[in-house]
Amino acid sequence: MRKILNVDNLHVAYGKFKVLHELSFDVEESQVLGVIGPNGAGKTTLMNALSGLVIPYDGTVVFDGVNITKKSPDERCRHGIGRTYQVPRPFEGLTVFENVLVGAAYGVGKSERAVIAKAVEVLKSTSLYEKSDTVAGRLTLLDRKRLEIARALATEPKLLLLDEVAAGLTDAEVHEVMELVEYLKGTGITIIWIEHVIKTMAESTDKLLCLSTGTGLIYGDPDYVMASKEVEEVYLGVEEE
Amino acid sequence: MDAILQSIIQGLLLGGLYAAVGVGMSMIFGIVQITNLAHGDFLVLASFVSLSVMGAMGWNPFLSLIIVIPVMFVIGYIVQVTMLNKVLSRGAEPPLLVTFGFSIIIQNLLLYFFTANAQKLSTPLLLKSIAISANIRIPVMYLIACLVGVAVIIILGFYMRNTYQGKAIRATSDDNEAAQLMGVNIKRTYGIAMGISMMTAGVTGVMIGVLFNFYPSSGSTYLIIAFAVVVIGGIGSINGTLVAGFIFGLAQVVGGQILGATYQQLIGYIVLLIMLIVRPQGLFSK
Ligand SMILES: Nc1ncnc2c1ncn2[C@@H]1O[C@H](COP(=O)(O)OP(=O)(O)O)[C@@H](O)[C@H]1O
Ligand SMILES: [Mg+2]
Repeated sequence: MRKILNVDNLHVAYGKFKVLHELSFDVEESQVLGVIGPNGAGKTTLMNALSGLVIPYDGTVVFDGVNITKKSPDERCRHGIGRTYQVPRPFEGLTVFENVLVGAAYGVGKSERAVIAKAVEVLKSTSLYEKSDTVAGRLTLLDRKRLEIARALATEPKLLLLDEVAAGLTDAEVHEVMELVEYLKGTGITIIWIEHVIKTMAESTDKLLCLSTGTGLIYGDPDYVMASKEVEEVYLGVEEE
Repeated sequence: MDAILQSIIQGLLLGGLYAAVGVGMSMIFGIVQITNLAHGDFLVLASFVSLSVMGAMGWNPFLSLIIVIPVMFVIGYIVQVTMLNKVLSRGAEPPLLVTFGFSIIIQNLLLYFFTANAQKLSTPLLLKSIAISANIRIPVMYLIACLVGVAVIIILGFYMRNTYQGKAIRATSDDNEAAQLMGVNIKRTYGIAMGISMMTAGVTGVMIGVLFNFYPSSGSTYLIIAFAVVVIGGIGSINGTLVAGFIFGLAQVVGGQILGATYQQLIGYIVLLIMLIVRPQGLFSK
């Protein structure tokens, strides 16, 4: 399998506050990499570094054969990286349709007709089509989470970064989101999927990476990682909460 | 009584133009989060560009717009992309100081090239009026300026709602980080927004230049008007801007009619002050 993403010796800090260090891993095309780890481990920070919202102070990120370590978020988007926020951040003043339209129009250079077709397609696949004309600020949490995914998909990413899509949802809602992710896997898109509660992603991933205090603790097949002593120790306190 | 009615008409007509004077500043407030202290000076710059175009080509002020508008767009875009964008990440003060710098530079350049003399963009239309009754007349140029002002606002609203670029500008205004994740180049978007803001300054600058005398130092008068319209209307609200323009124009002209013309500007300031105290978020804040 071709490697679509290569992260090498990544170091990320917010100002002087160092968060990620010596983090290295690869992602193969069309695979799902799960990233787990306790709160504050640096999962969202990894998303920020991959989507360009923070620039690492050391290390490299190579995506689809191009060194994107220092590229801006919009360049990365057009290059094929899509990302969702852990806490959804829709464009509140725009309708659901407009939210998706912006991604379709700017994330990929398309003709006007193709943009609208793309927007309709992603809204249908994320069960949001009926709510196209709703102002995004009025959506429920589940729909906001869907819109995060829809908007990212509209930019036609080769790599999709999902940051805790299940967090804050009821069990029934989590089930719906899971089905959506399963559908996405079927489309062949590469996914990095962060989840704080591991059970949620369970066996849906091809590889699992556990982060702890800003670096990779253990990486491998899900069964192997889940059974490891390292993960058990990291999650010991957390799972009892 | 007729005199009051006459001034109400004039105030409302002026208000339509004032709304357009403020709308460009409101946009930049809302989208780039910059207080453009040079907005009035850019407007006056446009009056002088029109004056030069009229002189060079022998055109009337309205025809000069076909050069003034694109020139102002280019100026706005360049100023934003080459200067303001560079200081945006350093907090609120640096961009404010940069626009203050523009204000000083524009005034002094105009002083250097055009002297401090009063200028006017002349057209015979200024003297024309439509008689409504024996004592009440609608000045044609006020009517044109009002229609142009309202048209500017309607077109801007249409552009923001119905074009991809407009949607991208609104998205950037809502959340500039998320907009980047959608592939929007926000620095370029800010440049376009400033260019559009300057186009509105261009159109209104020409209308103002036809209606009133202007000098290199006239910018501050229009900055206050723009500021008042933004404050009364609520930041980023295009419809609010329109209502605010009418309120401000009415207050100025009718107040001036009652208290004497010399008080016109003062009355404007007082309305602004009251508004800031009573409802600082504006009438139509989002
Ligand atoms: N914008 C920021 N500025 C400063 N510190 C931050 C910022 N975002 C996150 N942090 C800190 O970085 C660490 C990792 O946070 P985060 O990446 O959000 O962890 P996770 O997503 O795994 O819970 C935490 O200690 C957090 O407080
Ligand atoms: Mg997180």
